[in-house]
Amino acid sequence: MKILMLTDESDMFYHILLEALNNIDATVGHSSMDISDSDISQFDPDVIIHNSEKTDVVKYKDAISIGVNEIDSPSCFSYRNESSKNYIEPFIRITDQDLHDVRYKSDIVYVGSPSLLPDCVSEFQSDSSINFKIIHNTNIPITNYCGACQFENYKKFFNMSKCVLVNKPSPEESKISFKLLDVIYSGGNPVIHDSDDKFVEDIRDALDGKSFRGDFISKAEIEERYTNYDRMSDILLKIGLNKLSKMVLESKGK
Amino acid sequence: MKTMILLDHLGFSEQNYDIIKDVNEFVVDSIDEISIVVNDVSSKIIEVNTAVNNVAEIGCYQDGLLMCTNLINADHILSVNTSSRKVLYLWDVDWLHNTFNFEWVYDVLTNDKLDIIVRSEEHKRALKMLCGKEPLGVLQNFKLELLWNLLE
Repeated sequence: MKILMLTDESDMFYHILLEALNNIDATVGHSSMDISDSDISQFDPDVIIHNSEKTDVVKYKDAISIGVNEIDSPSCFSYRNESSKNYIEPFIRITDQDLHDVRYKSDIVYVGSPSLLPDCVSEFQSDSSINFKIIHNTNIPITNYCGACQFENYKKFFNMSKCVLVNKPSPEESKISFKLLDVIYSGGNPVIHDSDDKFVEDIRDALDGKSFRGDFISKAEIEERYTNYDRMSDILLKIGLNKLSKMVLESKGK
Repeated sequence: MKTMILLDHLGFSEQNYDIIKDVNEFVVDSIDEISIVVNDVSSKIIEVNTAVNNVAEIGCYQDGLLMCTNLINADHILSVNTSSRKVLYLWDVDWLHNTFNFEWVYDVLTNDKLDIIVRSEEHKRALKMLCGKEPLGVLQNFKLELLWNLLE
């Protein structure tokens, strides 16, 4: 079995998904989308996985083509559009990294754009006795902004904070988001914004030591059903590659 | 006190004007050795009445005070192995205006070899928020003598 993975746009979630194929007994090739047809023929893949939004970009006919994009097609999958027939549920990357690192310690942490942070948290931002860190990959000139961070290190912030702020999911979004899974998997204490008053009350409770982890899916359940291996297995199963799907699941945790 | 100040350049900025003006006034009747080193020597906001050298000089600057005003230059002065005391006079909260990696900023600011002086209570708060480090003091307007007092 030969699998060719093609990347059009660099996308962290797509790459995490592809990582699930690294431990199976198959020949795996990676390339950008500008690979020539003759090079693809030379590799002669059985399966091509790509994230290009152009359906005609992969012309090689002797392989099963799977798109991880937003195209409405039986062989294309989406993890952004929940109404898609081929919606991929959120997933995490299994990691054995040590998440305890004092550098990442805080009382409240928010990872994401500050423009999405509800105004009601301003009372915590202005309280100098509370260590409130905002982490985002674009600098924002507000006091609590503390810089950008590598993808894997977000988990350390989640683990080392008394309270992790999570935005309210939009009506179209599932209550289980990528971020929520990451927070719980990291051992963080998620506080979700629902209504302003409840949010402020929950943050205060979390700062006093209350754990909200029990309100959500457990870490064990995440490891069991919400990993990149599970999602890649789901995709392959839906395409009809049952054996490959089983191989991916069996390679989980190897 | 023997002092070397590392600046990005000598061009137009409030920071350069304030620092160079104070240095110029100070060197008129002082025997203290004050020098400025810059990354870019191409322009000058005002005449500098003391020695101006290329940044490479920081590598052999011994037994004095080696001062800079921003995070990137703080990382530079920390990287040189000299006996000089290293000070960051944090002119602005750099990490709010440029995208830096949190770990890098944290490691620079919490380096034991770096003393930090900030310009306002708000800057002090931002510093504590990021890494928990207390600055040696707050000095709103640059004055060499006041800066030395804080370091003592």
